[in-house]
Amino acid sequence: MYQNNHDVENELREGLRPRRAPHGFADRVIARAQTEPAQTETVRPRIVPSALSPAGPIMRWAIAAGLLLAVGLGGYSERRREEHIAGERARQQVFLALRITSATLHAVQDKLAEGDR
Amino acid sequence: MKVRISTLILLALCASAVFAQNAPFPSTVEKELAGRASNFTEVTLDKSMLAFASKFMDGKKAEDVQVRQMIQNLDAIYVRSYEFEKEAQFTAADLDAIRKQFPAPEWSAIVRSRSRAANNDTDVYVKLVNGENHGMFVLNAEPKELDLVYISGPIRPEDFDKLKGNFGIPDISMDAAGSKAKGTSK
Repeated sequence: MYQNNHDVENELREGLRPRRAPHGFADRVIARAQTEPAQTETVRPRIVPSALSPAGPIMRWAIAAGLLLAVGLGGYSERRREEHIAGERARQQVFLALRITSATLHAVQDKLAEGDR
Repeated sequence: MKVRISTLILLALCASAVFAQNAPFPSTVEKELAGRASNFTEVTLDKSMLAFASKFMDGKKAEDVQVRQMIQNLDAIYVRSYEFEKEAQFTAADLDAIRKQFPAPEWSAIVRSRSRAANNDTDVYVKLVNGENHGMFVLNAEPKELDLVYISGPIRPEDFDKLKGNFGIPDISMDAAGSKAKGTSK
C-alpha cells in the first residue's frame, strides 16, 4: 500500500517537473503568431439596439419622461381632487345659505301672520 | 420673481380690501355679535365663489338645477346667524349699525317691525333699480337669536317660489313696490 502510494507520488513529481522548452520553441511561436491573422472576438448579435438598452440614452430619456409624466399626472389628479372637494364645499355653503335664508323668511312670515291675527 | 410675488400679494390685499369694503355688515358689529354668541354661522359667497359652486351642482338633480339657475346671476350671498344663551345680547344700536348699510332711497323697506328691546325686530329691504330687484336684505331678531341675510344681485321673490318645498322655502310673496308682505305657511 505504502509502496503504491510512493510510486504514484514519484510519477506525479516526475510528470510535473519543470522541463526546458525544446530548442527554438519560442522563435517558432513568435514566427507563427506573426504569420497567422489575429483572431477577432466574436460579438453576439444584439436583439436590442444599444440606444434602447437599459443603459442606453433613449431608454434613460424614456424613463425620465415616464417619471415626469407620472409625477405630472399625479399632481394633476391631486389638484382635481382638491378642486372637487373645494367645489363640493362651496356647493354645501350655497345650500346652507339658502336654508338659513329660508328659515329666516319663515320666521318673518310667521311674525307677519301673527301680526295679522 | 420677487417683484411678481409682491405684486400678487399687493393685488390680493387690494382685492380683499375692496371685498371688505363691499361687505354689507359692519365688521366690528359682526365681531362683537360673534363674540357674544354661543353659536354662530357665517356664510360669505362672492360672485366667483357662487360661479365655482354652480359648477359642482348636479345637473341631474332638480334641486341643484333650480339653485344653479337662482344663483347664476347673483353677485353675492351673505348670511349671518347668531344664537345666544341669554337674552339681550344685542342692542338696538347694533341693529341700527347694520341697517345703515341699506339706506333709502336705494333700499326700500317692505317689512319693518320694531320691538321695544329690539329683540323682536324684523326688516325686509329690497334694492330697486328701474323697478327691478337688485338685492334683498332680511333681518330677523328673536330674543336669543339674530339672523341677517343679504343677497346681492337680481333676486326676485319668484326665485324663492321656485325653490319652494326644496329648502322649506315659504310661500312668501313680496310686492317689490309695496310695503305689504303676505305669507302663508306651508
